[in-house]
Amino acid sequence: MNKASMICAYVIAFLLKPVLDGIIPGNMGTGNILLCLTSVLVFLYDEYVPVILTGTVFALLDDLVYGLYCGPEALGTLAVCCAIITAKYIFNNENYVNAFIVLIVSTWLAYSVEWGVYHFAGVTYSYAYMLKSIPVSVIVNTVIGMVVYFVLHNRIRKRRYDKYYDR
Amino acid sequence: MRWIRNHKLICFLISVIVICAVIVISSVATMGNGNPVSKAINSICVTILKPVNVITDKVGGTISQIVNLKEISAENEALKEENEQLRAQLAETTLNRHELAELKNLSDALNYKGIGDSKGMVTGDIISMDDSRWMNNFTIGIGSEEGVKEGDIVVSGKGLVGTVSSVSEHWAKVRALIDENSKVSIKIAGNMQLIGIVDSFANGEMSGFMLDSKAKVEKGDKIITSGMGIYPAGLEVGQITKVKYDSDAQLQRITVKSTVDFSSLQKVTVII
Repeated sequence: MNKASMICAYVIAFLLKPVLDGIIPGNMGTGNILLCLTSVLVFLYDEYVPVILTGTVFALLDDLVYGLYCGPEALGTLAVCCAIITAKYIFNNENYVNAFIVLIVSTWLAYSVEWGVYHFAGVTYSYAYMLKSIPVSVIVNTVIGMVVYFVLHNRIRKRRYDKYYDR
Repeated sequence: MRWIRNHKLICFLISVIVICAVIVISSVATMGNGNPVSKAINSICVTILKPVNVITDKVGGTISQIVNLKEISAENEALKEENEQLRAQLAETTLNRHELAELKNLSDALNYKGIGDSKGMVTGDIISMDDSRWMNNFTIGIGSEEGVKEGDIVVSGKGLVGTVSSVSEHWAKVRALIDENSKVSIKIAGNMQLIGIVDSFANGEMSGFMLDSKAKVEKGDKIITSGMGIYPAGLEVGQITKVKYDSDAQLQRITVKSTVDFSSLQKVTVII
């Protein structure tokens, strides 16, 4: 995936969050589209540095605009990237089942790291309370991530001029 | 050096993690207030997101009306009945215009300053909520241009929401009361003699104690701010969900649930 397309995708994901938050009624959860995009791109492509850098910058922006402190989401995203890279070295097998498991684990890991940072900052929520509130986010993130994976996974096969065509 | 050349990815990850950790620590140390650079970036993002929020609010409101049509109809009928009752009460009220004018003259003569005299209010839309599902912080589309300052109290129609934690010209971040760890001096709405303190916040619930260990409080009693401390008097804080006598400390301990539904907040008022 070329860098311009990747940055466009991140910008769209960043702007899509308030749109979905405003349209979807109640507290059904809109997921973390930036996290899903970063997880899928790190899972699919071997050039990690641009993805990790762009994902981290947009996570920092997300924290600046939406969060109380700047940085928890960025640290969560980095933890997810490290975990996916490690998993790829261990399992070395890319398919829908692995992608599904990666997306579930990445959501849990990202929120756990964020909770850890907030706990260090003195916020008064226990880990169990946080775990009770993330199942909807896990489901939504997994669905969004699988859609993104399906689109990008097929793209790798079809585009002749994509440098990953010969994989 | 050879190790760094052979492990570029690991070195890159470690350096990015260290930079993010430094950003987190500095953000926590400044209580989320940020520096001029982060405020400028936030202002740009908020400016870009504001028109998006206006459109999505309209679309979201329409969708919400369609989805919740039955509930809205039932609420409409209940409000019509309440409106009729209030009109009847208004007609029966003993404080007529003449008496009100006399009280106003007396207040001016004694130079009495109530909450309505010295404090203004400004209402703003919520433009973004916290990403995490367990915290309730949000950003509003009004800032120092409208007179909002750090530490200002934020309320909604249902009660006390929280305080302003950081502010710029056109936005302000609000920290929800249930996410903070500050003490709130309270009274029981039905019996203004009963005073207590809410001093503990955990997992979205508040707990505290009554100053009178023999205070007659029960589950369902409404709690309002007493006026002592940073919060003005009369703001609804929540409802008592549990009362327990602590024999060790000889205190009447209460658990309070906030009356504000943070997940459905759309507009809030800042007391400036």
